[in-house]
Amino acid sequence: MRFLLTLCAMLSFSSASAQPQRPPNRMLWHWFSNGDVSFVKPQQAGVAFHALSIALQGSSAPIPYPRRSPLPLAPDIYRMAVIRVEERKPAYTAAQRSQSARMIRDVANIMRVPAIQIDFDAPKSARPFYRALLEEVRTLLGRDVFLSVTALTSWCEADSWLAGLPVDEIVPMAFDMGRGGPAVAALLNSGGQFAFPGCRESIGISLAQAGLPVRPPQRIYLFADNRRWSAPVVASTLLRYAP
Amino acid sequence: MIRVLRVTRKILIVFGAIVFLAAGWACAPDFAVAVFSYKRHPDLPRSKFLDGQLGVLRPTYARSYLVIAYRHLTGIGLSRGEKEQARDYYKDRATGWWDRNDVDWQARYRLARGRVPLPAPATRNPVTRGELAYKENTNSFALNCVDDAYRTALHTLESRIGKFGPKSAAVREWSSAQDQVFHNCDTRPAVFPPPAARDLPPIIRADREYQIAAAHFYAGSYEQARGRFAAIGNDPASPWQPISRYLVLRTLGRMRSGASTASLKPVAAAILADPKLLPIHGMTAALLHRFEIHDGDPVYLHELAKTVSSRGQENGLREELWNFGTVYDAQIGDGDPNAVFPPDKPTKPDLKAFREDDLTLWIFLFQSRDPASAKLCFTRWQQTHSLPWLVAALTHASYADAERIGLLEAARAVPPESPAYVTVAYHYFRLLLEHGDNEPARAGLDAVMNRGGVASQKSVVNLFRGLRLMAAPNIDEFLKLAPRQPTLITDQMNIGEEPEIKGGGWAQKQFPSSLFRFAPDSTGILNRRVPLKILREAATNNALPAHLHRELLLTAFARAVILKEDAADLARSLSTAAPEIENFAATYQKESTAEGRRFAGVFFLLHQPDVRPFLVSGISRQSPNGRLDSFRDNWWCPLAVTDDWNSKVSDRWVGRQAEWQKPAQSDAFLSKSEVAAADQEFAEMSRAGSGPTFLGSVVLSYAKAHREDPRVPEALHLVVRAVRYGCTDSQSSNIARDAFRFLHLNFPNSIWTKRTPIWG
Repeated sequence: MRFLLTLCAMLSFSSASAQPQRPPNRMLWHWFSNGDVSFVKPQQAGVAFHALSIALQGSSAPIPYPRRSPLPLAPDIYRMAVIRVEERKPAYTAAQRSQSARMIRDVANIMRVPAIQIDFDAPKSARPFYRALLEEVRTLLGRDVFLSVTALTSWCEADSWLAGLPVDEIVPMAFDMGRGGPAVAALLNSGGQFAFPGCRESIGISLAQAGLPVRPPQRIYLFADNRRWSAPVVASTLLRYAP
Repeated sequence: MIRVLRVTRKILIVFGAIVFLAAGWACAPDFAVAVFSYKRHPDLPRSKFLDGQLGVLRPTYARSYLVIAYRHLTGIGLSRGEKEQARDYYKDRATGWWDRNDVDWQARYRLARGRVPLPAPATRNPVTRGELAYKENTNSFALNCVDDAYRTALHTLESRIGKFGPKSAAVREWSSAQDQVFHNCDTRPAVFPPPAARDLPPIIRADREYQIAAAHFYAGSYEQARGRFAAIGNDPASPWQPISRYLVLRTLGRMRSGASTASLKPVAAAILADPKLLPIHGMTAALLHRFEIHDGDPVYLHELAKTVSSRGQENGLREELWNFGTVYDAQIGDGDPNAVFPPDKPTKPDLKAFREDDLTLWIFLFQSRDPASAKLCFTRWQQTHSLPWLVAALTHASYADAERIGLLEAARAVPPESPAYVTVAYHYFRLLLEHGDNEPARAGLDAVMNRGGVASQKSVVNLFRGLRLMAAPNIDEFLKLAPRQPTLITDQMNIGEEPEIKGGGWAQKQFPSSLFRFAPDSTGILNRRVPLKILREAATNNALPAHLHRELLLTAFARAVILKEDAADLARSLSTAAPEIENFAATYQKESTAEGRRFAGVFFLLHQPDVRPFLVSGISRQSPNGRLDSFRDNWWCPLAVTDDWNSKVSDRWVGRQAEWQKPAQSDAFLSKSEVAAADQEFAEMSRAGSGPTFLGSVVLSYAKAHREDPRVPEALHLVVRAVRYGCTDSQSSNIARDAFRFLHLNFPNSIWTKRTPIWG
């Protein structure tokens, strides 16, 4: 049974990843702060940057907080717009879902990015909401836009709720995992993998908590944590994680 | 002034977004943490602080609090009106919005526009809201059309409707052109109204010239906009002549991209020198101030510092605090010692930029971590003998410094009514403890802690209890001071220590702050300095609150099991303190051999993923006792983990590694030999590896010798489970594999074997 579930999950991924322009294997995460990473060349890495936060509160309409901090990038670099969904005790209504999906589409259209990444912390009760949201986003974006989601490592168990999501990629964030972090690190360090196959293609790593092994050809998202992406930091990081 | 407020409000909206984003900054799950003493602000509500009860001033406070503290320390204080201003300032910071009673001018304009018989303009985009323009070159959105644009449009439209009627060609022409102007607020490609037809009324033609200029302004074609506004500014017949002069300046402001305000000053000066332009003098001056704030102009910083530390700010303190903070931030840049996310290579701020006025210099040196700053504080204290500099000097001083320059004597002379008293007392007793003067420190601290001003502020009480703990003469007194009531239970992302920032305070509800918890200074000593012999005594001390008593007993029990010490006394106490585990405790006591007891102890620990041989301060674990934690916070990691990965995670988010830092302070109640014994025990526990590895090793070796024990198959199953869900080390997976094999080879029909289909 577990094998069948795994196979289903794998098939779901492969069928969802045919059309869009896929990100390079090294992606730099850039969150809210100002920054200038225009020195990063397209052949070095892509940049996944915070583009929009959507606050869900009660049953009110979602509140958008688009990126306000300038972030110059090199022309032709692979750009992925990251959308963060913030929860303030939301009611998870259908209207909130549709409005959020439209905001995500609008940002993709305005920014003209080839990829969108959605970042959220879904409590168990909200998982049907997020599944439906991703389905709606996928419909609105079409297949041309690469759709990525971040995931807590605890979602990457064998019977993951992520199975069958209409996304092109799941990025387990192997950092800031709280007290369970060392256990996940030990699993990965000892050559283990996440039980859910959908969590194996990509991984998110923080520079401050670096040291985790990466399995080629895994796509790596690198988070600068409390550092900034300066030219030397980018150069040394990409050297360390050379494909 | 109103104009400045409006302009500033927009800055606040940006700030609000930052506050919101900072609150939800990372993509990790929420973990509850206990704050025992605020680092970023004084106790809440701030009324006492605003009244001059400053508590223990900390260099990590937001600078606005230091401005207010400085006013109190220098005797200026805050008048009633200034307190209101300060409250409004903090309300701004909390809400991220100037006021929440704004008129939605855009909505009102759209309503008026709906009266004109033309197709409705496009609906408001929910992301850009008719205000934000996307800047392709910076991958970001910027405020483009402010409220005033819609307000002006509304008033103009109402006026034209009043004159020509809503269905007139004049008003339809005007509205159609205005739709194009507002299209450019947030939509690309930009569109521009055509020149007005000659047969339209002159005022509509004048409006059109202004609309075309505005459309270029919002489209970002600033050269065009500047030329057109300048032309209107020279047209005495246009009703838009005066405002266009101002808009030339605004256009230049948008065009300058890095150029300093100096280049705009001649244009502003020409406006301000022209008496005919009196109606735009105020907004011109305000715009200049805004540019100066943006530039972080050092001259302006010191002007603001003088204002913000003067009496009579009943109408401006709110805004001055904003402006002072903004310009100070711009000056200190990457050298800010309080930066939440410090840069890789912090720059060393140039002292010259901060030394032109006393307030700015005081804040700079008080917050600085640079040893050279401490010396400058001492010098300033010696020069001024003022309270602000006494506080700054004491904060940075060692005992030797304090004695050498007379700080101790000056500290003793500060009366209890002084706003500096609590801070000064805190550092005075800190220095006495540093010097080993424990007895006078004990007596003095007890006296201070009983004072009303201290006892009513939780943060302050906890800081003083931390000092008093270091002077405890015995373990009993130590244990009385070890638990503290947190000031706040929140999640680890709440870097501003704001109550309820994430709407609902789930952490507070799940873990009430009324419950006493171990503070990090006490767990540090109990984990690293106290040997099992004393810990055992402490664990049987019933003076602790029940939940902490249970925690301490289990910790001592786990430690005894690892160290191969008998734990029958602890098991007996556990039967009372934790009735749910009475059976295990009884089994342990019934065992007659050391080997049997050790296995019984391990068997028990395998059922209790919450037990560890050390204490964790604050929220020790999020899952219920006895239950597996879904974030693998089960059993324990190798002690004294030194690699980057573990230490940084824990330091930053959870603070567990802080439990292992050797406390710097002296341990008044411990002898050298006791501390040495604790060190040896710590080394032995470190060698035992992670929880799952240690427990598995004991089980395997017992199982080989006692296959007949009916608990063995279950224990082997639990070992595999512990490695799967617990914190592990490099040996753990081998242990799990061996346990799995042993179970399947020797107990093929056991129910525990069936429940263990895999080991990895």
